Amino acid sequence: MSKSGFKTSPCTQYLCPAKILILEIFHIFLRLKFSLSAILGAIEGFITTFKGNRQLVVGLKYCGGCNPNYDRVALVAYLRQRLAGQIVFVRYDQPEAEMILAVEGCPTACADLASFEHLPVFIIKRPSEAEEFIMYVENRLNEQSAE
Amino acid sequence: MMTPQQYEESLRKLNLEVYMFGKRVQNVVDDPIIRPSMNAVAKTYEMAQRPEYEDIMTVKSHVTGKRINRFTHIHQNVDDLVKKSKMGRLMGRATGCCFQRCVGMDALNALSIVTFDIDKAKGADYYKRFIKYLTYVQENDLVCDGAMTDPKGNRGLAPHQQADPDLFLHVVEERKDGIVVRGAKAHQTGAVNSHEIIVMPTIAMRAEDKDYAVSFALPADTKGIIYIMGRQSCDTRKLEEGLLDRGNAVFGGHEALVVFDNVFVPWERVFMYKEYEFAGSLVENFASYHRQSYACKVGVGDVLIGAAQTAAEYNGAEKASHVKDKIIEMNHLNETLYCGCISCASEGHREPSGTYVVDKLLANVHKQNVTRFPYEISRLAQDIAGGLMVTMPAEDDFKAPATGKWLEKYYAGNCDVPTLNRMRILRLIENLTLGTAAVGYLTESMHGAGSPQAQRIMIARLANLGEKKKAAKTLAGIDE
Repeated sequence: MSKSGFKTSPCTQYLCPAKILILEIFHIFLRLKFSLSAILGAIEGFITTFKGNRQLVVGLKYCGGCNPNYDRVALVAYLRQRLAGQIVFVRYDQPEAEMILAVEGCPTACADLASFEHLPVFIIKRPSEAEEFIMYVENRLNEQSAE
Repeated sequence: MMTPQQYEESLRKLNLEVYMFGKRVQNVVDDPIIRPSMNAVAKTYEMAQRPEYEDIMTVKSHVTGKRINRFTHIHQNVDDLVKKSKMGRLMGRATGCCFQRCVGMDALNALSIVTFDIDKAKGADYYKRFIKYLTYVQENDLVCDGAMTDPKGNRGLAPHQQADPDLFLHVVEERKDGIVVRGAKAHQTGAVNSHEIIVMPTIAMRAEDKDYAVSFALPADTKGIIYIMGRQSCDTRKLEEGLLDRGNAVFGGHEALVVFDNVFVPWERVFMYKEYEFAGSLVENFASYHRQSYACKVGVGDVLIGAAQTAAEYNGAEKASHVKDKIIEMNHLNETLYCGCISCASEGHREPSGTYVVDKLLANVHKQNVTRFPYEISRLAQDIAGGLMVTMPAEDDFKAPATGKWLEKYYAGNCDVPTLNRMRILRLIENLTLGTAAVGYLTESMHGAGSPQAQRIMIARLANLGEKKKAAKTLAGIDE
C-alpha cells in the first residue's frame, strides 16, 4: 500500500517509464479527485456569483433626518430583507461600493451627494420609491448576468 | 470624534468646583440632578456616530479636512448654516430639552469673524491664536460653554460705573504671560458638562469700559472657576426612586452661575484684550448665531405636539373638531418658528474671515417669535391634556396596593390604552410646560440669547424703514 492509500499496480515494475509516468499522473488525479471537485465547485460558484446570483454592493447614504416624513432606518431594513442575497449594503465611503442609495427623509433631499459623481446614485425620498429601487436592482443584476 | 462613553469619561477627569444645595458636588457626572443634562450633551456625540444622522451631525473641518462634530464647526457656506438649524430641530426632538452644545459653536463662529476683523484693523494675531484653539477643540471633540451674560448689576449704568466693578467680568491684572480676570457669568447653560469655557463681553463698550472688553477660553476646571447650580422647577423629583413623575426620565438641561475668582488666562488663550470697539461686533455676531440656534425649540415643539396629540387619543378626544384645530394651530406656530431659523440661514452671507453668518434681521425676527410661540403651544398642550396633568397622584400611589387599584380604575381613559401610559404622556406635558424642561422650552425661549427687547432693538436697527417708505411713496405718487 502506498502512503496515499491507493494500490500500486503489480505490473508497474515491468512498464516503461513513460507509462509509469502516465499511471502516476492518473493516481495523482485520483488522489486529488475530491479536491478538484471542490475547486470546480468554487469556480462554478465564482461564475454563478459574477454571472447569475451576483450581489450588488450598495453604498448607503442617509440624509441627516432632521424632520423625516417616514422611518428611514425601517425602510432600509425592509430593503435588506427584500433584496437578501442580491445586495450588500456598505458605508457610502467604502471603495467597493458600486452605486449609492441615498435615503432622504423628505422631498427636500438635502443629503450631501457631491462626492458621488463617479457613481450611479439612486435617491429615495418617500417609502413608495423603495419598490422602484428593488426593480432597479433586479434589472441591473439581470442585465449583468446576461452579459 | 468621541463616543458618548468617551465623552462621559472625559468629564470624569475634570476637577470642577461645583456647588448645589449649599454643598460641593463631589461626583458631578453621576449626580442624579445633573446627570440628565449630561445625557443630553452625550446625545450630541451618539447622534454623530449614527449613519442616519451623520449628514447633519458631522461635517468636514475646513482647518484639518477631518470629519468633525458639527458643534465644533465654523460655517463655510449657506448649506452649513441651514444644516445647523436642522441639527437644532433634530437634537431638540431627540432629547426634548436643551442639549447645551450650541452656545459653544456660536461662540466659536462669532470669534472666527471678530478675531479676524481685529487683526485686520489693528495688526494683532488673535485669529492665528483662535485657529490654533479651534483646531484643539475640533481634534478633541470638546464641549465649549459660550459665556456671555454678566450679572450686570444696575442696568442703567455702564460696566465701569457699577458700584461693584465685578458685576461685569473684567481684567484685574496684566502679566508677562497672561492676564488675571474677575467677575461672573450668569445663566450658563451646560456649564458643568463642558470641557472649556469661552468668555465674551456682554454688551457694546466704550473706551471707559476697555478693561471689560475681554474674550478668552479656559479649561472648565481652571483654578478659581466656581460653579453654583441653578434650581429648576420639580428638580428634586430626580432624587425619587420612580421615573414616571419626571416626565422625561433621561434628558434635561441645567444652568449655573460661573464665578471667576481672580483667574489666570495665558496670552495664547486670549482673543480680545481691551479692543472695546469690537465688543459690540462680537456680541452682535454671537447673538445672531445664538438666536438662530433656537431652532432647537422647534424640535422640542415637535415632542410637545406629539404628546398633546397622544394625550388627546388616550383621552378619546382626538376626533373633536376643536382638538384637531388646536393641534393644527400648534403645528402652525411650530413650523413658523422653523421658517425663521431656516430663512435666516438661507439668507446668510460670507464675512471677510470666510465664515458664513446668518441674516441678522431674520435671526432676530426668528428669536422674537421664539419668545412667544412656545408659550402658546404650551397653553394649547395644557388645554388638550386636561387638568389631570397637574392633579394626578404620584407614581408611588399607582404602585401602592391600597391606592393603585383606584387610580387604575378612575384614571382610565381610552380603554385600549393602559392607564399608566396615559399618566406617562401627561407627565411629559407637565415636564415640558411647567417642570424641569420648561426652563428650556419657556423661560429660556424668553430670555436666552437676549430678552425680547434686545431683538426689538435689532429689528428696529435692521428693518430698513427708508426703503419701505420709498416704496410706499412711489406707489402713492408722492414725489419729494
